[in-house]
Amino acid sequence: MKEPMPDMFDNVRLFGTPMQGLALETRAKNVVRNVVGLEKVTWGQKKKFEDMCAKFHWEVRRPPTGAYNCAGHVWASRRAGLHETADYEMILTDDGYRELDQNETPRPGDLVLYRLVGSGEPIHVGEVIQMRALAGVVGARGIPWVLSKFDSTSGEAMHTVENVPYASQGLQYQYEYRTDRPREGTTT
Amino acid sequence: MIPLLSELTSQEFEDAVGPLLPPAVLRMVLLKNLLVNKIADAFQTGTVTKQNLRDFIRSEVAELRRGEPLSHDLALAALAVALEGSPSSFASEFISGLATLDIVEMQQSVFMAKECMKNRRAAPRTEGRSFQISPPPPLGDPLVETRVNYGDKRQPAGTFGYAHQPACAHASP
Repeated sequence: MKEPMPDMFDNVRLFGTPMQGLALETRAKNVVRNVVGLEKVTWGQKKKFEDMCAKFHWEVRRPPTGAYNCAGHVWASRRAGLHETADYEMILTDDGYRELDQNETPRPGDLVLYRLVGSGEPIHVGEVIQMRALAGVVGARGIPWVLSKFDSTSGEAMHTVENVPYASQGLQYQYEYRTDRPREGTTT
Repeated sequence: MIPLLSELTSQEFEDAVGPLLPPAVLRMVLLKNLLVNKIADAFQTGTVTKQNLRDFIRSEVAELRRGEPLSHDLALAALAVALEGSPSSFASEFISGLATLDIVEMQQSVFMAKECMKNRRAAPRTEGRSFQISPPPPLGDPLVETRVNYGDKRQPAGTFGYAHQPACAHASP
């Protein structure tokens, strides 16, 4: 009789730490899938973040950690990574994040959602932290600066809304602002 | 180690891939990556064998330390994408095995394998199907009655022979 082939990951299964998540729900009580990542990152991941910060002139807020990703930064208080992009849409709907109107200015605490052109698949979500005025330009409302945890192994960095690495990855992207604030001039 | 596979573990490859995007988008980036495509072709043509891949995977997972991220987790994620289109049983074994791991030290490759599984399922393939064949209607009177009129002779229904057999040229005298 033919012996069953040993699983190539048998030892890994015994050795690794099972993925665990936090109890996390939207305001509508829908479960948000998440994984609490490891704090440590590899040497290569640290170096990649340093190189990207230098290349894109990002301002570093904190060094790399593997504990959470971009969505975990904005929606899970930096405690876990949210890897299912379908859940991003669910959170936006259930938690009442509306898209900013053309005439509205982003404010700190609003979110920037980067999506693929065409499919609309979410790529990244960051938090608006500041409207930084351009030097020498009076009266302008300024450029939105965003705090981003670019991936599940990077650190956090501050950057202008347009200064993201996706074009260098061959991706066509667009972005939109989302907020939980009521429309300007209304109270609801 | 096969040079193509060792390139997967290089810092250049990690830098070239860029930030680790959500699995569906990262898969698209990896599908366009030159090295990933070279490995897919090499496996298809036999330049890289399944034994080469098995040795590579074994050496990479041997690096696993509990509570620490696997050094070349991205390499395994890229390998899953490279093998995604292969119909081989080895590719199935690798991708499905990785997808069921659910360990935090290898989360990038596990998420990518899950994504590759979705796309392998969605790919067109030949599959066996069973059909229910209903039995034929019961035999009864023929639907068409053939009548051939050769004079007074009547051809029996459903037969096509000559009513009057002509003399056969090959018949014995």
